[in-house]
Amino acid sequence: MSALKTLLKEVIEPGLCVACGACVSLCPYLVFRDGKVVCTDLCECEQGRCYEVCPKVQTKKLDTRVPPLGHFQSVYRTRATVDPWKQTGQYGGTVSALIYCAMQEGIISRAVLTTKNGVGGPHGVVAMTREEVSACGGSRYVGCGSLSVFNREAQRSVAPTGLVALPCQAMALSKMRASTLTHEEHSSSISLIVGLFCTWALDYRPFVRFLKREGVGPEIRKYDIPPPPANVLQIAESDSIREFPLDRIRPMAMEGCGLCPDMTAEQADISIGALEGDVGWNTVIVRTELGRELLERASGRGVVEVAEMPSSSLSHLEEASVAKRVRGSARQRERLNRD
Amino acid sequence: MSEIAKGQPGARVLLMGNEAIARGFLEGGVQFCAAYPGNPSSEILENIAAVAPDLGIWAEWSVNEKVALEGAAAASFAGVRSMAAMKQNGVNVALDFITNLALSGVKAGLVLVTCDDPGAISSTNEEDARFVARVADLPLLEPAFPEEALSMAKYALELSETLGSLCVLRSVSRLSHSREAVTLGTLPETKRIPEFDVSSLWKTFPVAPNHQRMHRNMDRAEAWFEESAFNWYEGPDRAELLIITCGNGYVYSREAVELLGLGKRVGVVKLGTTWPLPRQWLARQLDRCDRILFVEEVDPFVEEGVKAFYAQNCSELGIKKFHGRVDRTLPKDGEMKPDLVMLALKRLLNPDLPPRDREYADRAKAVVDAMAPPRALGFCPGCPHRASFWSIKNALKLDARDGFVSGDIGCYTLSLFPTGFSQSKLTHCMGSGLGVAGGFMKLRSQGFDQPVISVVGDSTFFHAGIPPLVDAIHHGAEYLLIILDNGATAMTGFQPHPGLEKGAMGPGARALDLESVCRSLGASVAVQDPYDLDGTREAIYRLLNEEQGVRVLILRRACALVQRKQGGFPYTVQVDPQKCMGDDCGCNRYCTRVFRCPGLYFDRTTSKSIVDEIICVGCGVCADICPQGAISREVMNHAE
Repeated sequence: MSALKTLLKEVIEPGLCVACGACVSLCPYLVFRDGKVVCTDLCECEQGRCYEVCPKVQTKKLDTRVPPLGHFQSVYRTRATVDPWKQTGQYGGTVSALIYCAMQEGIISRAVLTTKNGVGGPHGVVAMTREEVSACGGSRYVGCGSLSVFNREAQRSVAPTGLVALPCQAMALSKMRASTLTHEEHSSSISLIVGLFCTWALDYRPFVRFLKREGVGPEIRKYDIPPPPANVLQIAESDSIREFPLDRIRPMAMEGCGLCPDMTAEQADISIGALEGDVGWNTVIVRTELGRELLERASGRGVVEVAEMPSSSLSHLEEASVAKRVRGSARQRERLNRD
Repeated sequence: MSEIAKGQPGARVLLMGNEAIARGFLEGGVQFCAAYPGNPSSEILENIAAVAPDLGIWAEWSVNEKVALEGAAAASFAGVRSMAAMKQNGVNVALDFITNLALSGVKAGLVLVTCDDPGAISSTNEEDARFVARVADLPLLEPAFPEEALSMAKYALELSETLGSLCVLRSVSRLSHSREAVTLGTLPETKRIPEFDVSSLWKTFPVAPNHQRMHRNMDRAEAWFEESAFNWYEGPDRAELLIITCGNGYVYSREAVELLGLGKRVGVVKLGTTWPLPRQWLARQLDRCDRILFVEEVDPFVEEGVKAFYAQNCSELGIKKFHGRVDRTLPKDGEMKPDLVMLALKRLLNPDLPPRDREYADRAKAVVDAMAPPRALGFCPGCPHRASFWSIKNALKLDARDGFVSGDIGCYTLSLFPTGFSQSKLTHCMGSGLGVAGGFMKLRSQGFDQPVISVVGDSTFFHAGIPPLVDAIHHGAEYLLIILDNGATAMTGFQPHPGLEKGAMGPGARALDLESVCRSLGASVAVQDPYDLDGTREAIYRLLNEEQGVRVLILRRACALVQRKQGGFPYTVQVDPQKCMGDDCGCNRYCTRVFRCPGLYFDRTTSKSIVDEIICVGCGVCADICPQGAISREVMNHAE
């Protein structure tokens, strides 16, 4: 069976695709459109890059010796201290600040980020300037296929690229680097991976139908899921804020997210998320040398403030991460047993 | 100039069956001829139309066969001889009018020609349209070769006029399209002036007495058929086997008898008047022999007719054994061939026939197979339908809601197959795609949620697509209707249709505007050029999601063969072998294996795609397909 057929059989047809976009733009057979990865024709290649990079393809058993937050050097709480990052960030604004700092430091010459809105929902976009980076600030809670844009750009030109990646996307990028099928120049463009914490992401098409029925949109200013006990999704339009109980929203999460064991983007250089109890700050997990160096330089430039991570928040983060790991691996086992 | 206009009376001219029929009608004084294109009948009207303006008579491509026959009937009611020609499906379309016209009767001679397609070589069904003679109590004539087709066409007009009844003339593909030398007769010197007698009434009721009148007509016809020169016997006075045959079954039977050397043992009863059967004449032929083989095209029509009258009279006729399609001495379906008749004769009479050399036969087959590999049906290079279905395929995939196409009849019927990316999931008869699509959409209230695209051609739309579109709009069956407007009735030979400013006899017809027709019915209308792949895909995708009201998308681009006749295409197309990725992950022969235009082929020695300069017409569409941009199109300098 061809690689694409296997990918369809194991991931796409069972509805497990999480719209990371890693398999898209490598060939004409897989396309990303309006939040969905679509296969338009069948390819007969026995071996294919699509199958090699898909994060939902289980390649090895989960290593239970890995710490709850994955491998890392240190954990901090941080926040941006300058505009526009202070304004445009979801919480502490650290992600955008670090991406732009990486550009200024020459670590990367371009970044693949995600738009806020746009035709077909939030989607991948290349950013090279301050304005372009700040336009992408804030959280989206939908699958947006942004790795397809990386694939497209990397084939056009080899250049050091930074990516803001969900855990599945960070895994895909890891697989891209490890695969013998991926062309060298292609993965050599992957220079910096800034990971995001994630519990699940929404399936764009059902979500957008939901918003339409509720009379929300099309332009959204900000999405937010405030900390418990709120249990709502807040959607800010230009002049109003709507709230929906998470019980109505969760059913629209992508099914594949339920099989994911990774909450903190364990394959990234540096992973960033909310800080429990303080919406003005971020939690930052520094994993690699590059991640450490970037944070240091950003701090040195006075762009971000780095402080100690409160231990109670850290242990809550570990608990949440373990819980997702346990849930995810149980579902994955269930699915494998079912086949 | 049409073959049928060449030559003086008395000249011997090589004519195909359809040309001979056309000539026969002209010699019989026909003044109103109507038809709808359909293989194998189309040449009849084509040839008459070529000479109609000079002769001052009327020839038209009607919007459908029912209208064709209705128009011809009007001419008959006005005292002017007329004919309507069609393939077997056309008889189905016209059947309601036929069965009523049979009751009302006609005035001047009116002949219905049905050209059937045994083996369904170019049809969606295999059907014997002779049933119409039994259903509607009409006289039926079957010519066996072109010369007879000419004389029967002429005779049919006279018979119809004498009886005051519609008459049926039946041909099949091989008769319509094979040629022999035919002697031309004279064309009439004068024409009748059409006039409708307002004291006359042409209606079907009261039905019972009219039905009885039809039966009396059939008795009269039978009496004439008893003496008809179209029926004859060849062979020994008493035979070991009698072949009762009609139409081109006659020539196959003669060929089989001659090749097997059975001329002294087998007699051939050749019937030209196959309904009503000349029963007394037939009874005399049956007397020659107790074993009978029926050879005819498609259904055991004559076979069952003869058996019925035999059963009625068997005590007088004695014990007979009948063979044919019913007992499977001959196959129950498929086209008749001389080989099949020979096999039947071998089985029944076991003549001394040396078998073919097995080894030679195997070698011959191997050679032929290598020269003529099996080939899939495909759209022409440059065909706009390939581009249209490419975009439909992509849009439906992107839409990802298990949408599908309800197909229809035309060249685009091939969208059932890989050449059209296997998009069409349903195909029946002309215009059925719209009715079926409407039915699916009416299931929405019960939970049906898949998008449906109805695809129809321009000619088919005018033929049968308007009533179901009206129905869909009225019932809120909100599908996307895609009309493939290639400016012709292409599959059958580029005949004009109501969307064009010309008719069968040349320019001067009024063109109906597809957009206005659809809009005035209440559909929204958009137009795209199918060669613009991105634009067309986006338009379809957008319309699939709109889902308010019936949406019509007209994909307008002339048929590739028509474009060729009008001066060809603008581009030279080339593949850059440096950029071509061939088999590799990232391409896997996308242009040749998936898009499948015959203008491109994959060179296995170099693992690259190449443009076949003989087949490629230069439409340039494939340049937008290649994921590597390896295919380029350059505007050709026509001076070269």
